Amino acid sequence: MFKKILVANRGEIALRVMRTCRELNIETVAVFSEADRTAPHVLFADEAYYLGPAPSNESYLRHDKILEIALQSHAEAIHPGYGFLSENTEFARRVAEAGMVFIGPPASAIKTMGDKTMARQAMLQTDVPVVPGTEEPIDNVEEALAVAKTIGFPVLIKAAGGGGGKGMRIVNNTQTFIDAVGKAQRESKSAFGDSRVYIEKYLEEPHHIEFQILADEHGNIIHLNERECSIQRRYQKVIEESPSPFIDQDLRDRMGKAAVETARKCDYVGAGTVEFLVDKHKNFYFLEMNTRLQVEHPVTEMVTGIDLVAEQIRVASGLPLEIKQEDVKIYGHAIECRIYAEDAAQDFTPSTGKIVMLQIPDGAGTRFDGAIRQDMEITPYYDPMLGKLICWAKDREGALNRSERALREFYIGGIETTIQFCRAVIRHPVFRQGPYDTHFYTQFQKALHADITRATEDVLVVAGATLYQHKEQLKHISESGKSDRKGRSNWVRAQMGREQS
Amino acid sequence: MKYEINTIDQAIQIEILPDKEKIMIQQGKNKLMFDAVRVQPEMYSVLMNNRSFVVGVCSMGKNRVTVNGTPISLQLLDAVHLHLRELGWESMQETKAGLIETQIPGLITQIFHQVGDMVNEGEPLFLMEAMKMENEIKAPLTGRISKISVKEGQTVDKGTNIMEIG
Repeated sequence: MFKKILVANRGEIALRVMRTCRELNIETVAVFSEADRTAPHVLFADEAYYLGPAPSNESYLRHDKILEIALQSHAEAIHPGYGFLSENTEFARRVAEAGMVFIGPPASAIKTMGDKTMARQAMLQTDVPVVPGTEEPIDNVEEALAVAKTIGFPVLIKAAGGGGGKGMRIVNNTQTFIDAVGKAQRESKSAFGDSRVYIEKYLEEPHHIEFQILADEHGNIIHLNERECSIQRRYQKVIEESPSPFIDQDLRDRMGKAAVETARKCDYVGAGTVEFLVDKHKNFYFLEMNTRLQVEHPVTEMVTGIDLVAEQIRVASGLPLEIKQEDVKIYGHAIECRIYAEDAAQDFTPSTGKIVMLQIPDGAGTRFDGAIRQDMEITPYYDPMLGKLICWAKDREGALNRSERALREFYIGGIETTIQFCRAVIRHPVFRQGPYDTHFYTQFQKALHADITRATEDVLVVAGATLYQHKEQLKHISESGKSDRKGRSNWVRAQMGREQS
Repeated sequence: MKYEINTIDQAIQIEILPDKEKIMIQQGKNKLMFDAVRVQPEMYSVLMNNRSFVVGVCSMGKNRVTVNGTPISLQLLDAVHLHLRELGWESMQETKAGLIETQIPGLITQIFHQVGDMVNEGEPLFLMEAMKMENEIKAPLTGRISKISVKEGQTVDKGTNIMEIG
């Protein structure tokens, strides 16, 4: 086992990794940028080294600097967390060359799975289903129609040069197909100067379901069941849960087997995630494999009792997996809510500023993986995720009730967050009942945003009267000439300035 | 003193009667005992007829409080404002019109319009990169762009005036 590990990351994931290290009696080395001198991961670590200026390409993405610090501090291994250098083959290779261990899969596995086309090609050689469609872009309408007929309607027509939904069409039958291809080609031609299109099976009411896998150097591969990740906005996950309210044991077993096969195909070692799309008919298709620890890994930890970071470290040090597939059980239910510094009412634009008030929920079954504290500045340099609230209970209903309870307790003042948005999702009848698919957010967007600010008359009276009293107090303070600036937020100060002018 | 609590879709009249350290609220026929105690610089514990609420006042600059987590944007109109309104001086509130300011620091990557362009409410105005994400800023109202104060590629601070509509 390692004696010292450098964590090449920041924020909640750096803290998450270091916590397990300390429990395993492994010393931790933090790296930090100019903006992060007093960040929680620096305070937590045994040693901390300055990397460079705030922008990540001058700090957390600097291979050379991080390697130099690792050697200087005598770290035996580097944990990349997620994001930054976690899926960088070049960095993984350089760590090994420097005589240290990269806590992650071999560079070859990152390479195969990191490239969508390469991953698809690799998966076509296995029994794992991929979304049926054309391998190469098509220019000929007749040829396209033949493909559409083979894979079956509805199909999706995608512009070869496209992206962002441009030139994309859903077609339900042969009659409208030819017309739609023509339109897509013209759009694609004018937008990207390329009239070729891809034909792909359109999945109805798709679910985004992923499987956690663990693999060691000795050929053992197991899966730790699924995480349902269909609550997304801007293609980014907001709420995840395990087990999924959509899949049954038979489908779970088949998908788990496919996930293990995927990992075997790319000679995977470590913790990884195989993502699938599942349509309403419960057909599942390989989407991609993430060759790192995922943001939402805690929901799996909560229902399996397995510390994924500890397993990553054990496997990276060459030890075989101690857990066998038949030992993996699902205990209860876990739900994760991602808390972003974003304004849900303004289309989730990032929100920066100082955290002037902080109340983190606790109590039974309530876990918060974060890296925030009061008076901390949220800067625009990094990912706006502040942390994750994970609630566990013996069944789904209990986990839903616990999540709502904890979200109500959760209070971050001074910046906008997604706390109340998550609360609106958790109490939405469709989400509560389950199952739900990836269209959930677009479908119920209006109702969700309306629910966030819904208030009874009593609550409005409380709001108004408290505002009255607060303003009276501020008036009193400024009249009596006492300076009470210390304890007041910038917001209040700004407001006072405005009132005076 | 009489007050009106206004939100986007509701208006409630109350009368606030200071009663020693506490406050008595008359709402229609209801009498409410209101007791708010500051527990942290920006947080109050409220007991209203013994029902307990936690109220955050961090976002006062935006005229917003949170009650048990629920954010409420409101305006508290006092008797003077109510009287002015009765006289036909509709709304003493400043109308912010079409001044578009940045809420966060970032980089202006693309501006879709020129001075003189007509834009509809909700139409994208410009792209701004902040926190590793591209954000599309939309027009808050329909009108003609009268001023653009930044250039593409410019880095801007929070609160920078980007453009004006109308």
